[in-house]
Amino acid sequence: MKKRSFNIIDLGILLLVALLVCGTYYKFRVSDKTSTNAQNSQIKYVVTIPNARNYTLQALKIGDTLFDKDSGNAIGTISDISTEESKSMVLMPDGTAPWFPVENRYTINLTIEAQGSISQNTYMVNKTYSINIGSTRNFCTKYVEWQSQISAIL
Amino acid sequence: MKTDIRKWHPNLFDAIIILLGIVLIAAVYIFSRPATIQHAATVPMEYIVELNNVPEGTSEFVQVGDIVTDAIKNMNMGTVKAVKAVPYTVVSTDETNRKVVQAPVEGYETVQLTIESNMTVTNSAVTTEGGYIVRVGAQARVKGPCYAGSGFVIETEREEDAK
Repeated sequence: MKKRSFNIIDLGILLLVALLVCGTYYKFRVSDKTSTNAQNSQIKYVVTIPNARNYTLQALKIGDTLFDKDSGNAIGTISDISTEESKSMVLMPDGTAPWFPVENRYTINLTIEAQGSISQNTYMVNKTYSINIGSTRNFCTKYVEWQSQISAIL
Repeated sequence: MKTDIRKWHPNLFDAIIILLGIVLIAAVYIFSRPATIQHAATVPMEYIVELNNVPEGTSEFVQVGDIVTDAIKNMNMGTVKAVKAVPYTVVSTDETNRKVVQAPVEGYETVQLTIESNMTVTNSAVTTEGGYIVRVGAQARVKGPCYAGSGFVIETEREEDAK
């Protein structure tokens, strides 16, 4: 009977299996543990909706889940809703640019609370959604959608 | 004549390859199967859509009971339950009183349609039977039997308030 010798293909298969085992261990043990710890931070940020009409205000409720409209992922819960007078800059014939109040419009400030990670001044919700002041995003809840900016991180 | 028939004797490496094959097939099956479709019960709900900047008198062509569709994707939006005409306004600057006002535009109106549909309600959306997602602030391009227009969804019932 011919004795089977150990060759390069066998070595390759053994290496592949070893890699698979290591990869599985890393995915489900190591990386999971790290991200679980990182997700423990509470992040509070403010989304400001300028020039909103009354119907938008009426459709928002404290406790509603906020979603990123582009990905469909939940990015927090509305914990507070406040409004202020909406203002618009007007270019005047005399060369000035004053801010005038706008009739039947509101500036809505939504405080959002979310679980996420904070590291090196980077705020992440759901591992992939970064919170950047000044960025314009598409938001929605179950009942209302809009495009506006993240205006503050509390 | 002697025929050399080699019999296959599986060894450790064959077993590993077969095992890898099974794992691969299982992984492909698990990750490529469609997500479980949950057939949620439908709830009859009403919402209001406004059609802006339409010629005055358009509202008279709208009949209660009209079936309206999304003009882009041709999705059924529901049945008209009520119709109301309000002035069409544009933003204008009142320099005397130093404020920005909503000025009515002569010859044009905004038509507000109250639409009823059986809605599928999930955690993140309310959808008509035709597949149209109803959210306040969403742009709507509506087509009726003899009228059409575009505007926004301006009001929707919340699930807890639906009949």
